[in-house]
Amino acid sequence: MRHKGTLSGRLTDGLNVVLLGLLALLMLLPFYYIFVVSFVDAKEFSSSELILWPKNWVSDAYAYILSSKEFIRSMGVTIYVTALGTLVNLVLTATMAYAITRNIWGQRFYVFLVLFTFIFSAGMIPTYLIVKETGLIDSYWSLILPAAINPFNLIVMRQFFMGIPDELNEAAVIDGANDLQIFAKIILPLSKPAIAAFGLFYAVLNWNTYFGAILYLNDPTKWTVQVVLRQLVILNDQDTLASAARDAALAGELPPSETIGMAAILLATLPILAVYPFLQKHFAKGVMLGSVKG
Amino acid sequence: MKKMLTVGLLASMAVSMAACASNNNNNTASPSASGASPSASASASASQPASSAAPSDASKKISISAIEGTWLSPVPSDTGGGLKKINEKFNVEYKPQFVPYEEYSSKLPVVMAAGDLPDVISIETVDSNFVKWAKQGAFLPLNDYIDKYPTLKAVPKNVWDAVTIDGKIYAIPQYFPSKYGKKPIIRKDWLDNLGLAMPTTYEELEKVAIAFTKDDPDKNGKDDTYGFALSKQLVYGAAMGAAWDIGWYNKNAEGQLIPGIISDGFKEQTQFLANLYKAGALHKDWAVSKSTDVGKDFFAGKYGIWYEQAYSMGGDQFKTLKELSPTAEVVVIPPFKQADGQQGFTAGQGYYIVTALNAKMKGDEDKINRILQMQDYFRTYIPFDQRNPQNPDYDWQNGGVNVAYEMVDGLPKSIPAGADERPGRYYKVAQWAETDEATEPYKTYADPTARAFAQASVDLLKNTKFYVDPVYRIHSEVLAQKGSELEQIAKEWQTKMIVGQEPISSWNKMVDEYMKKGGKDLIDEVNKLLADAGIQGEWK
Repeated sequence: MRHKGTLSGRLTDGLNVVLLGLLALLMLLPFYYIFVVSFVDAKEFSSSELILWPKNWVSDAYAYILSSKEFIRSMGVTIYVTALGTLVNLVLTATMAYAITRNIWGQRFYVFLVLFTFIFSAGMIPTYLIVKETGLIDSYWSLILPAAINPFNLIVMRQFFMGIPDELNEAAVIDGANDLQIFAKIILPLSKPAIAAFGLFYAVLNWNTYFGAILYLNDPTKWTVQVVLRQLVILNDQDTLASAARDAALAGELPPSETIGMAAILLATLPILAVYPFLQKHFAKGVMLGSVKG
Repeated sequence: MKKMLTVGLLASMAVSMAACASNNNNNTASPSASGASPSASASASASQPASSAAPSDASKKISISAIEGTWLSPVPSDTGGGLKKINEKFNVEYKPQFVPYEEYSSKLPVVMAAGDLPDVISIETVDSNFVKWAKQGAFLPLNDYIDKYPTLKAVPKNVWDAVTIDGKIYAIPQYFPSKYGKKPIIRKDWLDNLGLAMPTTYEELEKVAIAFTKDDPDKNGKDDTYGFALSKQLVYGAAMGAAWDIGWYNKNAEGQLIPGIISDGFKEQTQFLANLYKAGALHKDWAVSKSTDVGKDFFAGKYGIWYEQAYSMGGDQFKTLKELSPTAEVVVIPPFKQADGQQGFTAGQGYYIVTALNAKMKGDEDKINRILQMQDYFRTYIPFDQRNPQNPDYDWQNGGVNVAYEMVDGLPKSIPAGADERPGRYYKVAQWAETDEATEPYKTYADPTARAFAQASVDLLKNTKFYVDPVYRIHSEVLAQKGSELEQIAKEWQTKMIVGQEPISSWNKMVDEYMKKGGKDLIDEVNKLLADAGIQGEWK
C-alpha cells in the first residue's frame, strides 16, 4: 500500500529504496570480488587477507588468458554454438508451438509427447547412445540438437500464441493467406517480445553449454569456453592425492593461480552479460508470458 | 632425410638406454614374450625386456586407443609433436582421449555403458565401478604378463591385491609412495619462539596448540594465529598415528577389525579437537572451510599445525610462507606412542591411478604386449640425478632440451610453449620407484624451504613404521556401497561434538547409529573377506 504525500508513506518509500538498494549492492559483491581479485598480484593474494582494493593493479592474469590459444578458441566455439544453437532453438520452438495451437490432426498427441519429455527424461546413457548412433559424437550439432526444443519454453510459447485472438487468423484466411504466411506475417511480428525473451533464455542456456561438451566432444579443441573456464578455476581447488599426481615430471608446469581463474570468469561472463541490457525490456515482459491465458 | 636420421637416432637411443636399464634392474634373464620365436628372444636378451618381444612383431603398426582423466590444463592437443614421437618410437597409432578429472567420473561410466570402450582405460582409484566392471568382464586379466615386465614385477603384493578380484589382476597400479603422503606438520620456529618441546602426546599437543593461539608465537604483537588447522569434513583430522587414524586398525570386543572412524582412538582425537575448539585454538569457521583454503592460510602464517607431504607437492607454498614469515621452519610431527606399544603412521594405498586393458583384446598378443611395452617403458624409473639432457630417455620423454625444457641451476624446468612436444605429456604414468626413498623427493624442489622440509620429512619417515591397512586389499561390496555414507554419518556427529553441540559422551549413540545403518554388516563382511583371504593388517 502506498500512501502518497503522507510523511509516513514517504518514509516507508525511502526506507524501501535504501534497503532494496543495499540488497542489490549485495548481489554485486561477488562480481566486485571477482573483479578485484582478477587484478591483484599473486603475492598479495597469497597473504590471504580480504582484498577490497588491490595495492597494485596488475593485468597479468588477463595477459595470460588472452595469450592462450585455448581460451580464445573455446570462446569462438561458444559464440558459434550460441548463435547457431539459439537460431535453431527459436525456429523449431516457434514453429512447433504455433503448430500445436492449430486444430490439426493429432495435435493432442504431439502436445502429449512434449509434456512427456517435460516430466520424464531419458537419462544420460540412453541420450549418449542416441547421439552416438546418429553420428553426432565430436560434432557441434551434438550440443544443439538433443536440446533443440525446451519443453517448458515450448509450452509457454504455445500459451502466448493462444493469446493472439483467433479473429486475426480468420481475417488472414479470408484474405487468402496460407498457414505459413499467417505464421510469418502475422503471428511472428506480433510475438517479438516473446521471441526476444526466449532468444535470451536459449542464448544463456547455450552459452552455459558444459556437460554436453564434456560428454559428446572427445576432441579438446572443440570444447566450449565453460569447459576451459572450469579447468582454469577448479584446478586451483584440488587438494588430496590428486594435486600431487597432477605435478608434472618437471618443475615449472604449475597450475595458474586464482587470479587467472577470476579473470577467466569475468571474461567468460562479460559477453553474455552484455546481451542483457539490449533485451532487458523484452525480458521483463517475457517473464509475464503465458501467465494470463488470453 | 632428416626425419630418417631422427628415427635412427631415437632407435639407437632406445637400445642404448635399454641396455642401461636392464643392467640397473639386474634383469639379465630376459623373459621371452609369448609368441616370440626362440631366435627373437635370444637376440633380444641383450636389450631391455620391454623391447624384447619386439622383433617378431615390431614391424606391424598397431592402433591403440586410450581414455584417461587429466589434470593438465590445457589438455594436450592431438596434433602435438610428443604424440608423433610416441607413434614413431613404438610403431603405433596412439589415440589418447583426455577428459578433465572433474568430469571423468561422469563420462567414463557413459562410455562404458555405451560399449565404446577404448583399448586402455585409466581409472583414478579402485572404486565400486572398477570392481563392477571387472566382474562383468570388461577388463583383461593380466596375471600372465606381469613377470615379463620389470616395472610390473616390482609392484608389491599388497598393491596388486587392490586390483585383484577373484585371483585375477585387472589393472596396473601406477606409482604413488605409501609413506610420503600428507603428514601432520608443525611450525618448528613457533615452538622455539615459545620455548616448547615437540609434542609427543595429545595432552602436550593440546598445550602447544593453545600456546600457539594465545602466546603470539610469531612475535608480531597481534593476536592473529590459531594453533591447529582443521577443515570441513575433518579432511585430515588430527591423527598422530595409526591407532587414531580412520584406517582399519583397532579391534572391537569380539576381536573384529573396525573402521577407525568409530574407534576409541578416533574418540580421543575428537575429544582433543573439542578441547581445542573450546579453548579457541581452532578457527571458528573450520566446519565450513575448504581444505585448500585452510592450507593457503597455513602457508600464509596463520596456523601452527597442518598437513603436507614431502612427495611431489609443488613447493610454491613454501616460497610464499618464507616471503611472509622469513623465519618459518616446518617439520613433520613424529607419530605418538600408542597404548599397544606401536608407533607409526598409516601407510597410503601405494598407488594412484590404475590402468586397465580392454577385455576385447584377448588373444591379440601383439597388441597386448605392445601396450605393456609402452607402459613398461614409461614406468621405468629414472633416478633424479639422471634427469638431464645427458640421459637419452629423459630427454626424449621430455621433448628435448631447449625445446620443451631447459636446465636451470641443475634442475629441469619446462618451457610452456614446447609442452606438446613432450611424449611424457601424452603418456602420463608415474615412474615406478623401487622404494619410496628412491624418489628422493627433496631433490625435486628448487625452493630451499620446500627442500629442507622434504629432506627433514624423509629423514624422519624413512625410519618410521607404517601400518598397511588391510581393507585396501579386499573388495567388500558393502564397503563400496555404504562406506562413504556411513563415514558421513559419523563425521556429522563428530563435527557436532567438536563444536560442542553434542557432548563427547554421545559417542556410543553415534556408534549405535553407524552400526544400525549398515556398519554391522560392513564390519562382518570385511572381517570375513580378510579371514578368507588370510590378510591381516601389518606393520612395515
